[in-house]
Amino acid sequence: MNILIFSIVLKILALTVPLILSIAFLVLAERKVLASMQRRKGPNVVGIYGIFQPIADGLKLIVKEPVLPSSANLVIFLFAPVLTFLLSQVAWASIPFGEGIVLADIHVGLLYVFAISSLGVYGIITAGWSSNSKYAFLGSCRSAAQMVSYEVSIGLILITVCICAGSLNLTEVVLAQTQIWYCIPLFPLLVMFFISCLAETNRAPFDLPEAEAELVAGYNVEYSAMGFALFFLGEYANMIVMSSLCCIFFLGGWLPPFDFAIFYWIPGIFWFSLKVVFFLFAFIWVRAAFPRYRYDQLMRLGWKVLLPLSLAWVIYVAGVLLCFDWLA
Amino acid sequence: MSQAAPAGAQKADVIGDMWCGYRGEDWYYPRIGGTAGLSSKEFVTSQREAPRDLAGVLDESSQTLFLTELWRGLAMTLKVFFEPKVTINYPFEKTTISPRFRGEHALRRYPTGEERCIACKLCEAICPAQAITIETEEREDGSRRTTRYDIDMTKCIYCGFCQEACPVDAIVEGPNFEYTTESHEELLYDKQKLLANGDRWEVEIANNLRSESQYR
Amino acid sequence: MTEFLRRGAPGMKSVKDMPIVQDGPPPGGFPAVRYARRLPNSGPAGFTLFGVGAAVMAYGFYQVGQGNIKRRDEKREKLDSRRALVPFLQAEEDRRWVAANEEFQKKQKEIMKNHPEYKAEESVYKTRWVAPAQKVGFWGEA
Repeated sequence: MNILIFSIVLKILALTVPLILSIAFLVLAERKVLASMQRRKGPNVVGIYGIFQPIADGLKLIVKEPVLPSSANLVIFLFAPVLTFLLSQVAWASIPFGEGIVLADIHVGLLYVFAISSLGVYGIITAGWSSNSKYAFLGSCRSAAQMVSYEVSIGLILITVCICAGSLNLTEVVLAQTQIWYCIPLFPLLVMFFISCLAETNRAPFDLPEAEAELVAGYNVEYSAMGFALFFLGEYANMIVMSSLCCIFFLGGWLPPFDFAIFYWIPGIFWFSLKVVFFLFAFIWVRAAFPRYRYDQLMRLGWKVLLPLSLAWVIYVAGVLLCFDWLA
Repeated sequence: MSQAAPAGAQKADVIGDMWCGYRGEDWYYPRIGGTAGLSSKEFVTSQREAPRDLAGVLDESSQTLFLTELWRGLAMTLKVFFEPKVTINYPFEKTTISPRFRGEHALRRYPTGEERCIACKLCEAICPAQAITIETEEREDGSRRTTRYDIDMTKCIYCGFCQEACPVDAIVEGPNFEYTTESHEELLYDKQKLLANGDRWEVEIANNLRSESQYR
Repeated sequence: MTEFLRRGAPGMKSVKDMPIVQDGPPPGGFPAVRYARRLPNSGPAGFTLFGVGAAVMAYGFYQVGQGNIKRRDEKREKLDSRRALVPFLQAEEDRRWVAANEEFQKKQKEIMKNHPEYKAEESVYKTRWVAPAQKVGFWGEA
């Protein structure tokens, strides 16, 4: 019994510690990549190529004084960033990194991840509400509404992928792609899923609720130091989760690109990381390239464009697979 | 316009409709004089008709569904990603400065060593921020000189009016901008500081003036 | 300011010969400015995009189908082999159960041999059988 608990704790540590490190370096990578796309260098003073910048940022946020608004509901105010960060870590439990390399290989893994991302809305709503500030509250309302609307299309797209794969188990979904990755028959779905992920994580071009220059960071305007750091980390962890979901559902998870024996010498984790890094680069690339959506345009896109399209795809894919007896 | 209208021109090509677009180009630009002279692929956004033939419909819907112009934007961003960056490593690398650059003030001297300033107070009069304070007294040898010439660098707006007003090129704005201090008082320059500046920066200031004086 | 215009430079006969220190174009002149219009390629036509997309997706769906058929067969094979094993596993379990039951009965008789009214072979349930209130008990028992 003891060895079981010990091994589970070890597995969790092996998951969360590299995750937090990668979030820290993702922040740096975003600044550097964004800068490169704007013809300038990003931070390059702190370490060589700015490697120690996240450490400097983290240190600053830790030693900074947390300002607690006097009229805020303190318990919920302090709980909201904790909740957001917690959920972003917990979502990693059912993500497979390789054959059998998963913390909890539950048979409804997809549903689990989807449920966690739906719970993420609570963190935002409580943050805005407990700040007791008009702008924070409005920002959080908009943010929550945006997340909820794009979750619908995420759900429908995931249903389509499940129809093709025949299982909600994430490992099974990856294994179903040994024949062909789902980005080839379902490339438009990949694009739609990616767009919905951008909106789900409040990333540009859908980041009006937290537009840094316009709404002063929206729902987390009252947060300073540790609270802000947790929101920030939670957002980037969410970004990485969404990238890895894109990767698992459409790009074949930990499978190598071609089915030759030589590619299997490189461990699956490496292929998985490569694909996730590509999607993260795409997140940053899209932020650099496109202007921001206005809020009503954003909501229109979610409900009037992506929802009908993804629904149509569900019906179409189900029809095609049923017709030719290609169901799993 | 006196040109014949091209085949696709609409009858409402008024001059007031200045904005039009080009399918496939990323930029919209104003067209003075209406739509005369547009090629077949250009259109005035507000007067564009929806295509009715299959090719046109497929073109339009493929643009919406396959996000063609978004991929073009992404491609351009990626191209820029690999280009050399224009950032310079400031304290260790610096860019060139124009000879007209207006930086730290200096009081100049004649080649004989005599200070140029004759206390005419034109600079004090013209300074928009009233940063210059002058007190004058006749010197022992009878010449007109200042006893006090203070420039408050924190009030100064670095407009260069003083150097334009000075009839003898006494007060100039040199090319130096790296004179940060750690206390406010050090930035309230007095005559001694300004003269010392002048002595230190004279060579470069003289060089700049040699080329710039032709335009002043 | 005029005294900066150097007077008396060697070889000078009039003001027109004064050497000029002046801001001007770089040697060789400025590089040419492109002012021609740039009309970029507008990319593949709608027909092509739809056609290529449909072809790729059709191929992709076909492969998905093949993969699913393969997986279906593999799953059936796995279940078939498990089905074939069931009698052997059941026989093992039966052997174990019989031996354990014998053990238990012997132990029971041994422990309760001094008790006059206890009959080891009888069942402990005296009334008729009643269905349990819950299908699964609190601790997961039947």
